[in-house]
Amino acid sequence: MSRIAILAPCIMMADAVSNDALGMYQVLAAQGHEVRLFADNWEIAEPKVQHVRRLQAYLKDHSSLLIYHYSMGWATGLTLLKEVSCKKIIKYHNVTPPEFYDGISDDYKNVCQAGRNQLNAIAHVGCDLYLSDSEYNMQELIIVGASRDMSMVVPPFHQIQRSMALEADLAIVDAYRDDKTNILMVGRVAPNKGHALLIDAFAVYHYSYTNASRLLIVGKKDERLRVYTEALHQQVQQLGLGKAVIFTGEVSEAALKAYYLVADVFMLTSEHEGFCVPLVEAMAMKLPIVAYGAAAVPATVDRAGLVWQESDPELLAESLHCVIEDESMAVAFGAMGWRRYHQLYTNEQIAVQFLQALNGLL
Amino acid sequence: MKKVAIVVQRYHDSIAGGSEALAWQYAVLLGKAYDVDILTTTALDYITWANVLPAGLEKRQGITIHRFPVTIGRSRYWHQLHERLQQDYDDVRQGAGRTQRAQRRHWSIGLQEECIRHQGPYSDALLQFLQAYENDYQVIIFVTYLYPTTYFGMFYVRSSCTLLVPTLHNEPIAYLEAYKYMARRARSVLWLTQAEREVGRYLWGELPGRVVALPVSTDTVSPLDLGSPYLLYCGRLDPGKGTDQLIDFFVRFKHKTSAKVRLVCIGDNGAGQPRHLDIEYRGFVQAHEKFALMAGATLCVMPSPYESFSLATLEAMAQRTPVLVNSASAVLAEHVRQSGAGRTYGDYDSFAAALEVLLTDSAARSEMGVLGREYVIAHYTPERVREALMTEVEAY
Repeated sequence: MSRIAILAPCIMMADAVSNDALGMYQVLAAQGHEVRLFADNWEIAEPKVQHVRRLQAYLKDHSSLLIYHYSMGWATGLTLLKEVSCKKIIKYHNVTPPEFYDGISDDYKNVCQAGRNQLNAIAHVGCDLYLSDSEYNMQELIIVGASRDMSMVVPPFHQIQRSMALEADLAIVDAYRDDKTNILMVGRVAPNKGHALLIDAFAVYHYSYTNASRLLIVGKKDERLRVYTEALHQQVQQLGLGKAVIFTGEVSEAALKAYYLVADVFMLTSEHEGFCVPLVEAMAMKLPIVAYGAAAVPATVDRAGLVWQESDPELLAESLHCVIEDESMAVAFGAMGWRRYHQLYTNEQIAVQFLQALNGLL
Repeated sequence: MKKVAIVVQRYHDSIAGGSEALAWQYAVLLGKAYDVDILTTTALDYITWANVLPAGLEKRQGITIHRFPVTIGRSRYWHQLHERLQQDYDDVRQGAGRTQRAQRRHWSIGLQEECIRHQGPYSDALLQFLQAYENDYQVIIFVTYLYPTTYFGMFYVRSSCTLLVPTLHNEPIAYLEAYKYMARRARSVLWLTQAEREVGRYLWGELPGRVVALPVSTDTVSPLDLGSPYLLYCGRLDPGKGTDQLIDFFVRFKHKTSAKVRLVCIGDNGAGQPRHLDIEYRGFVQAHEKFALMAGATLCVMPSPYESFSLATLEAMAQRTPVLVNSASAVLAEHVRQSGAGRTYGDYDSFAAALEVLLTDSAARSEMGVLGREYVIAHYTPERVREALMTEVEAY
């Protein structure tokens, strides 16, 4: 059995990249391989994570394997990738284009810029395999020089099955289980997520179709993105939606599940997504989706919702109205999403795709 | 031999009656023509769905029973969800379409499924088995609409091989729209009675299917003489079964009249029930004794407002014993209306009036007895039920 290292800059709770790294760890360990996780920062106790400085000593054998999760500029990671002589795999989660942070955060802009700059080097570092969360990510890698023959799509592992079994926060279920329509968006409050369009579309729906509605924006706020967050709050106030738009901030797993349970539609208006795990969470919960189809979003959703190429608030609002008024349409989209989830995105299905991709390297 | 699977929430030969017994009876009826597998869980009790029985295979009378472990049983969390469902019941039942939602507290499909999932028994292993092996079976018969074994199971298999035996009651949880969409996935719905089918039509709309019913034993048994006339109740003693009301009505009747009649209850030991000189709790009895008591009873009483078939009522009718049933159950009322084998009651006055007639008019009792037996033979012999079942299995 092979010795395998899984590397990411940081491994945190409730983080999509970390969940993918942890999912790979579990699948490979269950196969009997010797697997270890390495990072610069981490906040999980189990499984054990080791500091990145111990990585090279662990990977001393040529037959060892390094899987590097790439989602941001990280000099240490790139250096290691160049120095180690074992087999190497990149898992590309995409890097947010830095221009989204113009005028909002120089720190984020620099990190994203570094990530984009390193992408070229990553593509040419001579890896044995380039895995991407989505076709969209894979094309980005190929454009900058990664070998098409060595590129494959494997969706990210996630915690959805665990979430399905856990008990939801019933205080939230009680607060929002009423006569109002709940539109849900889940994701960090960050400028690539397109919140301005989300709020504009909701405003049209709220005023033109039914004011018995609310928009639940569930996601962590970041103090370093205060300019962005304040602009969104200002937009909400200007539209007179102070009581109808709720920013929950960071929530527990039980609370997140409760928000999915009370939602009628999942709406996403992101301008840049490399995959978008919350879309898959919505599908697993049979929640119909209305989305603006930027980046990887159309491929992730496929037919499980109404996905438009236009960033048009009126069109999105009309879509909300159609799905909410026509119960059979909502149920059909929900069922298609659930089927898509079970065919492609359960951890078991992802494990099959992942192990097939690694065939020959282990 | 072609294979048929029957999915049911639990199965063990110690579980008497209910949909579990139905699953077994269908398995036996089909076992002559097909290789039948019962797919079920390791749960034995329906309060917690705890994993009690060993997972794996058991062979019984040529039928293979596959038991899969329960992943999600019933916890306090489900009771909290169910409490909310009860609170919102009036709103949920009025929610024929989302356009009316402005007047009601709304349950999303996700929330409905959460309630169904945590009601238990939810078995990942059973669902994975269905997903992996659905093509091995000519049909997969799901028994009882209520539980996650049926609800989620039906989403894992192709509609063209799915038969649903809902054993549907008009109860709050049945109003969840999720069940309507589940039922619509079935190739055909097998009803136990026409009245149950009407409930289905009301809740789920028109669906393909037929009344298949259950086989009822028609072997006549010598009556057991208990020395004085008695009413027989056969089943669990549970407020949901209407037995609190039955005991109350019976005690009032005894208080107001001089009728020399007793109430004999079988199937439950009567723990926690009121003690009365003329009420006897005999507990569980063997089948032969049950039929002998039915044959010897002046009449059999069925107070349950929620019956989807009422095997005990029909078994009593087959023994030529008249029945007195709660008219709140459409199924019971239909049995009596179609057969002429007894009376219905809705309150104490109608209970007492019917009882007086039935106790005193032996000619009427004899006539009702004959009509009841004819009704059972015409509709519920094993041969008739098997024929209907086979037609549905072979329909595709």
